[in-house]
Amino acid sequence: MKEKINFGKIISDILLVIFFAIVIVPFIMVIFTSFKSTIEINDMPNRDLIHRILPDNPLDFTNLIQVFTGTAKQLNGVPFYRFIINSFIVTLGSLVPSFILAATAAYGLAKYKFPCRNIIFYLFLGLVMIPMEMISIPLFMTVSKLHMINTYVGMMIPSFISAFGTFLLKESIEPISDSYIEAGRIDGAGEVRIFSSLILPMLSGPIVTFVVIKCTWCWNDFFWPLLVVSTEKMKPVTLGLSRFSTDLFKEYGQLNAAVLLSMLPLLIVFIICNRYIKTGLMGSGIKG
Amino acid sequence: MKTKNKYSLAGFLFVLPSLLYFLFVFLYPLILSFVNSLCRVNLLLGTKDYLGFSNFRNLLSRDYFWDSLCITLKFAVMSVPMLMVVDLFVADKLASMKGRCGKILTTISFLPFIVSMAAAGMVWDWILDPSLGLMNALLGAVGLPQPLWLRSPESALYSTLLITLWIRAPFGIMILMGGIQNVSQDLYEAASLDGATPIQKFFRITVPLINPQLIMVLTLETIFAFRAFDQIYTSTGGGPAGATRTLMIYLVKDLFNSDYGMASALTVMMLIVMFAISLIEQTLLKKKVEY
Repeated sequence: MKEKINFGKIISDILLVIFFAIVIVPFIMVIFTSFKSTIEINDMPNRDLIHRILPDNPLDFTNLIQVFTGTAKQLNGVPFYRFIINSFIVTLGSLVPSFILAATAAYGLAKYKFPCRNIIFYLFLGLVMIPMEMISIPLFMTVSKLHMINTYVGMMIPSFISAFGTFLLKESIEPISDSYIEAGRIDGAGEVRIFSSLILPMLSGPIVTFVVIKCTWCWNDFFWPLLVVSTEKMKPVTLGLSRFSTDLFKEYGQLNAAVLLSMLPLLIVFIICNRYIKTGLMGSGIKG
Repeated sequence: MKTKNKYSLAGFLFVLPSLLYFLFVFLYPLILSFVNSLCRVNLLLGTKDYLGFSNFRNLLSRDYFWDSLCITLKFAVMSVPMLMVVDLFVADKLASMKGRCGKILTTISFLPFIVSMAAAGMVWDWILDPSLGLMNALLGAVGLPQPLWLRSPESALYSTLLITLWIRAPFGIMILMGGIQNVSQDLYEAASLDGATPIQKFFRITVPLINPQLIMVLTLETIFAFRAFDQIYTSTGGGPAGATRTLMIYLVKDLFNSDYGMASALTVMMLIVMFAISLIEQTLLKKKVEY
């Protein structure tokens, strides 16, 4: 009896190790391959396993520099930092409006009673369920009518609103006691002031969660920019990356260097705030 | 009474900006999608001619549509159960780990969440490269056969499943872990006293009690499987020989630039199918669990 249980445990532990190997190996390969030259990569079939993984010259920054400055062939002279700057603009540009819209809507839905409140709430709930792709065609047509193709605003339009953020903040505002709001009213503060100086400071945890997850989604968005951006100079990181995947003979060293550069900013944010993302997702469990 | 009205107006004003934005950027295009699917749309002239259901009929007569529908269904039928099993297994294991080790592993399992699906497709394309990649080097080292992975029509779709697993698992694991950690420890102790095995505890306590989270992950993953695009676009581009041309790839590569009416018809059909499937999933699973 006892042996049987141990046997099951060993198998499940092995499966867990395999899972973690699958999770971690791509990160290791991205980092190591960024430092490999094309000659080295094409020599792979003649090497043993260790030398297929580890780079010959771990301090060879040629790939990273070529990609970053745009001398890599696939980039057609557009430096990769240009894509990174574009992504920064789009991400930060959608972050602030989407936070304001999500926070005000969440506060209104959580702390006030008015007609149609539940209908509005379910409208937002429906928004979570509608995939962006389903409305992309008419939205694209509208954006092109407004001459916003190849502009930052055009890229940001669908991200100005965040259903996920609305739910996350609504759930965090609801437990806050109404007596704070009443105390604020007695002291003569206006509704907006109560919201901005009393309620918001109590929400630092959920706000960090919101910021990190929203940044991740904006930074990694691929589909919408693919439709609305065609000029090289306006492309965000994800589209800039895909230049390396179009050739038949891929420059894997440069491809991995580009991938590494594209995920570095988020990786830093993640390391700083990782506790908040996890608790945020675990607690609310909503995606929009 | 007057003050109450004043406050409810204030509440409505707080919600109004979001509501207006939602109506213009999401609801209006959604309605337009339905209208466009019944029209011939000319973007340059800005004209729309009512056609009735001929866009749908046209779409249904195309072989590519049926091919990509089959591929998408196959992808969904394989990826959703695979993700559910892996998510549940890893979440349960991680939730039972105590101390630092568990925390570090949880953080690691979450790492792929921050990688874009486009990048994931490219990285796995490198790892799965038949002659240069790591995967076949590992398989060769232990003497296993080395498939062509993404480069052969037979194995390409299965290879995209691996990419999808890597990129999607963290999200489900986090949500399920949140559910598992909320299950009261008393229940497990009581079950242990009654002599329940770990497997019994898992299926009789954990799974039923995290049913809401399971339904949510299932619904979101199903919808996700139907709209699978980024990671396939950057790894195979729908190839080889159309073996990974999902509905979304078909939409973007073949329909989007040629015929907006038909493209809209496709999105409308996808929307209806997605909603139908997730409704069925939800009603079936909600009935089953009444503890």
